[in-house]
Amino acid sequence: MTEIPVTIDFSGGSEFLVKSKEQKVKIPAESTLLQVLKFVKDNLVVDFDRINMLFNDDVTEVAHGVIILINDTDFALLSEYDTIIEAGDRITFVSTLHGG
Amino acid sequence: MDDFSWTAGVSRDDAQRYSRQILVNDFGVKAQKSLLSSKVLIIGAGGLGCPVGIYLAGAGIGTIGIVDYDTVSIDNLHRQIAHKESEVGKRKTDSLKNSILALNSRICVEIHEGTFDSKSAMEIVKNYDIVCDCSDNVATRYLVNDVCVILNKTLVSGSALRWDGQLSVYHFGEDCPCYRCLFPNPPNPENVTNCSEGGVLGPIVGIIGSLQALEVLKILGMKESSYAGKMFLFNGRDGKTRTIGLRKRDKNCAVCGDSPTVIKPIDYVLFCGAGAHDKVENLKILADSERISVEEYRDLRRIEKPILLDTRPNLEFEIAHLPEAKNITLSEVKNLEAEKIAQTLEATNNRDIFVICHRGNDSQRAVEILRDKFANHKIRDIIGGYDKWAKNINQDFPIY
Repeated sequence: MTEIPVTIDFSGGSEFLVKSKEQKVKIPAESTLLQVLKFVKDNLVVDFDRINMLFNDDVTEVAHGVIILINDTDFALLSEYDTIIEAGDRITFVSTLHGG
Repeated sequence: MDDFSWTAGVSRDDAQRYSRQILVNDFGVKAQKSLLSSKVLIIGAGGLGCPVGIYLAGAGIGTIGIVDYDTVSIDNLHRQIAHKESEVGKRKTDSLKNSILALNSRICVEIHEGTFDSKSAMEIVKNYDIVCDCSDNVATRYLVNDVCVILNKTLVSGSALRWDGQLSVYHFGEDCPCYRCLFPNPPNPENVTNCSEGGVLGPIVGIIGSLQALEVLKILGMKESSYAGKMFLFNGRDGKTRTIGLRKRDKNCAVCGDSPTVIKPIDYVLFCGAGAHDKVENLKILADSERISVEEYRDLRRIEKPILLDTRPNLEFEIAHLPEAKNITLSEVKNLEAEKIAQTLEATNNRDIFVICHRGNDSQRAVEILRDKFANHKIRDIIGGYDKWAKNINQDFPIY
């Protein structure tokens, strides 16, 4: 199976759930964003007690209050969870902040 | 021609006071005149609201409105730069007003110190040209968004926590999304961290608040913004900034969509499942038999050194703890084997185990987990945690 290199990073508090704030990883070529969600859960998440901060129960969507970016663009401007990830893409999970 | 006539863009006083911003390319007299006749509402006179208020006062905004229900506390002062030591205990609205007037006595300041809720928000917001969301909780953020859309006001929204800050401008032009377009559903309250739990560094709110003020000057003075449909992300830990492209206005949005279902403010405390403040709420999960007051605990420890488990994060444990306390965080309580916990606690002979935390919420959650792991021990949480200890037993205990 061909793999492609991507960068996955986390901000706004979601970084506390994973091994490190920014990680370069290899994912299967032709992966959709939905498959990346599962990849993150299976390979990067370390704090499963709070995983609902990041994903819904069956890991088909991000939790309310989280935006996904692909190369700094809101995934809603792309094909959402069907977006095909390309080599070199940066996928970012941003938890929105409420403090002030 | 006589010596005593001239054609003025601004008055002599205004020319002198505001010259250094009037001189800025693309800003000029037209923008200055617009600021002088504008009315800006600041929601939240905290870490963001302070720099917003101060910079807008300096720039000569005609009227500045301030909404806040809270009073100044000593732990605000590291970041809420308009409040002073001498104003601890006083209203934040009055304190920020005083700072604004000390800087620029020609500003008209209106304070709205009651609760800002579904009932009062429309009446307050309708009198302003533009709104700054400097609030600290989810319920207020949805309320402010909805009211701004309903009354067609642009919203300059900032937020911050720990090392991170975020900024966006909502409802500015046809394609610009509102807060609800991005977040149609509120987050689970359990997943929301506020500044009183997660902390925040002063310059982080300073940077985001300053940017909010700058966007207000551009929107009022020049009718343009750099962050409509975009979000600025700042991480002060890594020194990284990013500006991300956001989705367009959602035609199906409940409030700014083509057929809105929210046409007046709703009950946001119900909608969000959390109050319109950033205080930590006191839970009661356990039966009274599984709890002990700080006074009872004090009496017990006078007789014999008890076994005390402290569930707080390590950083908080380091601020101060009772000498008998052993730090096992809530997540460790969940994940560690009973044997390992017993070893750390030196919990032998079925002795009683007491659990303490900052305010008495996590300690109850820990008792729920521990009672299964330690069937032979009586396990109780200390009601109100270190907060209560500091209040009722030892006023010198370093509380935060």
